[in-house]
Amino acid sequence: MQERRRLRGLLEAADRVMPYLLVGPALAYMFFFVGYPLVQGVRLAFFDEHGRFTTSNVDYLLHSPFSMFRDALVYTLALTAIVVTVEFFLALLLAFFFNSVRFRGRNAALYVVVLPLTISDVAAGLIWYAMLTENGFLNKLLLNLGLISSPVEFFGWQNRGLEFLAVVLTEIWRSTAIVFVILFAGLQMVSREYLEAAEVFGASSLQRLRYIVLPLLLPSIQAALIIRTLFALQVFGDVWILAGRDIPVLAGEAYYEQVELHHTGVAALYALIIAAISILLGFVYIRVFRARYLEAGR
Amino acid sequence: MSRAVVDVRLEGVTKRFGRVTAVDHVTLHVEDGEFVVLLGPSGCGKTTTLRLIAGLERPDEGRILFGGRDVTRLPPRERNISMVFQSYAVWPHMRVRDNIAFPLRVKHYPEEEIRRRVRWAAELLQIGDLLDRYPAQLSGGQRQRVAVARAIVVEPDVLLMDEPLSNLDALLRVRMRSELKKLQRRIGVTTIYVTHDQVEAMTMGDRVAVMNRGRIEQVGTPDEVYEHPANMFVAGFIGSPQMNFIPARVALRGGRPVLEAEGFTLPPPPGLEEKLRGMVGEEVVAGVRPEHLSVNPPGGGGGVERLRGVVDFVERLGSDTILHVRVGGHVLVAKLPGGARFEVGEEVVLGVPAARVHVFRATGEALR
Amino acid sequence: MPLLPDGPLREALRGLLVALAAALVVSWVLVPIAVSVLYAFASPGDYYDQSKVLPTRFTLEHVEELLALGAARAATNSVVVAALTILVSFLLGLPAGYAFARFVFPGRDALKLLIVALRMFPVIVIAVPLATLYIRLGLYDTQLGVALAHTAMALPFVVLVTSGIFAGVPRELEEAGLVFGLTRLGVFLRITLPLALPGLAAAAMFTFIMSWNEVFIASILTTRNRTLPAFVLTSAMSAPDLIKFAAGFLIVLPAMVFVFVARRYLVSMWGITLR
Repeated sequence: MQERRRLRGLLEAADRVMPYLLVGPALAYMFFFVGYPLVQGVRLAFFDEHGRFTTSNVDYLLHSPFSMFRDALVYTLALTAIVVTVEFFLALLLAFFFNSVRFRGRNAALYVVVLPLTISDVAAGLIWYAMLTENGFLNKLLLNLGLISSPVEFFGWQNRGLEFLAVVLTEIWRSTAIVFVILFAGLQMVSREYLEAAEVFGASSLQRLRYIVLPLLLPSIQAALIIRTLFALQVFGDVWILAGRDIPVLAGEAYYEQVELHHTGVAALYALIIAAISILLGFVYIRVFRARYLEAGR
Repeated sequence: MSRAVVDVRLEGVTKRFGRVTAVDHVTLHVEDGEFVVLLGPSGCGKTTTLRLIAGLERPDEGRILFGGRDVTRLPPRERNISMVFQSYAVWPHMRVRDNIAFPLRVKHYPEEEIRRRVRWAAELLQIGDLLDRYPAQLSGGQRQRVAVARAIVVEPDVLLMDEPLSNLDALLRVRMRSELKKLQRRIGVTTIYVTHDQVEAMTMGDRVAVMNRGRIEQVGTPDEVYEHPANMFVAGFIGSPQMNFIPARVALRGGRPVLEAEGFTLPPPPGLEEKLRGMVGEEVVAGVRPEHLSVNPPGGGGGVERLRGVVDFVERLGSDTILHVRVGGHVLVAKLPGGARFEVGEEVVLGVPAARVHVFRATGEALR
Repeated sequence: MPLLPDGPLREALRGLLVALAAALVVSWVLVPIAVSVLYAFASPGDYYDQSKVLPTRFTLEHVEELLALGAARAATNSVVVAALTILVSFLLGLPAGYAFARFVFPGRDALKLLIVALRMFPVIVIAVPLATLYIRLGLYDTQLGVALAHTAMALPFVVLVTSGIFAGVPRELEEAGLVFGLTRLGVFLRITLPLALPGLAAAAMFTFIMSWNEVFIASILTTRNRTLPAFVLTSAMSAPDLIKFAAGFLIVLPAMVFVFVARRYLVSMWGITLR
């Protein structure tokens, strides 16, 4: 009898401990694989081999003639700003289109729109290279239609403006789907009855959009912007394929410093800078796009 | 406040969804200021009819008129209506105050007027102290009041309610029934109310429209649909427990028509004797409500047929006792006051008053 | 459209506009992919011929050459890495997902928020320090090393998605199992898992694609045993155009296949994880 009671006590304790046992390993893994490198990264960036604090990597970034840090920072931020803005409005339009319009083949179209989610940034770069290069689709098309007399050169150092455009185009093509999927999911969750009630009580389409849909979409908008912005700050593969170091970006420079120049400390510093900007922007987004009504019911 | 005179007319309104006809040539006239209930089982088309009146759906055929004005092609916001939705549809991202004020804000009423009306509506629904809360912080019953307050704050021509009480618990439902009815009386707005609950319909409606499979079976005051149901469906839907339906054949006994059932005979209602004489041999269905049956009635009284039977089942509800009695080849249900005591297997006598017997043709139509 | 009167004309026009918009959106996505795939198999004559917008003669030689150059080995590496990633991330993430779905425990909300935050954290931060660590541990330039790093990237996704999938299995079905004599583990193995299998399969496919596509971490953690994207990034960049297109095709191929198989879960899966 004593044993049975003890066994039951053990089982109950096991039940209470169970969730922690199940979650523990995953958490520990993340802790190690993110926490440790983070700490190590700081060490690599700010301490030399002898363990003394040093700003030599920072100096290198800011002052060395080999460092493209300033350009990389500007390009990354500019790219992020442009791409996130354009994608946001495009994705919003698409989300409304797919949410409110019924047409045959809508599901098929949905799959297609979401397809780029699965395409690697390297592949996207190669795909748009095929589109925009001298012998690529766009040039040949325009040539054969008689709209241009010689191919438009998108690539090469002297065409940096067009190179940037190509990168922007590729990024938008590749990742509008990320923003779309989040906004679309959020839009679908706006109950139809909320809109019907607004309509019954006199709201026009525009008023319904402004007073009902957008406020209820706010949490999704916040999530979409955070995700997209943070990913954009890490842009690498397609830029490297299309423009190499003509258009330096923070992640690209980190790669170059590490793999080609073996400046581990500098590379680590680049990564930390990306992380710092991400966290900063994350906080800004969370503040600006707060949905007070969600916090109320708690 | 002076209000426009607004009656609601539906003329041959039909709505199809694919191959299903949800609303089948419905014609109805709701008088100005009247409280009409659309009553019926789920799938009967009552909610679709309401949505057609609201303009949330477009009819395939027919017309809808408010106060003589054809609104059939108008979108909801041009019909000057208000609606209380079954799940309230109270917007979660707005405070109660802003929810109620919405219909006024959208129509650009002046701020001062908005504040006054919101206060008036909130006080009428006794939610004056909840104005600054968010819906997530309210109970279901409170949210329902917000929905009603929002519906009355602007002065609609027509007020529509789609099963507003069905998500409330039983006690609250009973209380809200009378509150809503009193509210409507006070404001005097033409109201169309949808429910599947016949108790709600009977207690709240000035008139009740019983619907089945997209058609209106009967429209009448609660008394009318109770005492003179137009067919078996209405007779069976109104009244709880359900009316006893006994298949019978019209026969002659001693020169007078009677209804022969399996193992016993029922007297016809006096008004129908002539008609039944001409129907000898026909199959009909006799109906009598459980509350009209008496058990072991005293002495010989005219007009009451006495049937011998055996108690099959007893349901004690406290306020009532429901007796299932086997008579001949049928089980008849009788409703008695709560104190009655009976045992299964007991032999009893059921009293059937002739005047309370309904007769229905084999098609279901009532004999009048 | 408030400009036209009601009726069949308006309906037809609206239908036309909608169809046009849909066609535009679909071709915007499909045309570049189609073009690059066609070019990957184009005969050089057709590709360098200015008058031919699209090739009519095709050849496998570019893909073959690319594979011989090292892409075959790189692709194999990618497959192994992705498979290992799925293995480890599911081993760790599935139980966690189940715990979030079925248990209520103190700290649950906070932990979930932590996982969501980790999902958004720039994972490339871990690459450089990991390289240093791996060199010491002998994991540098190994498939396992890359897989472990990819697991760190995929784990939050796996936890959140499996949590959603398990939450979608009605609790009553599990409770019925308990009532009729199964242990908790038995319920999980014989009721929950089979029902969750389609969703889990889709999640596994997406994890595969995530690992297959990843280039930054893979490039930093390997020199000779590169994954396919890393290989393309470093070696194939100086190759002629047609080889590049073949590379693009190779990278995109499995993604296309998986997307088609698991297309039903595409929108909901990405929608779940990010909310």
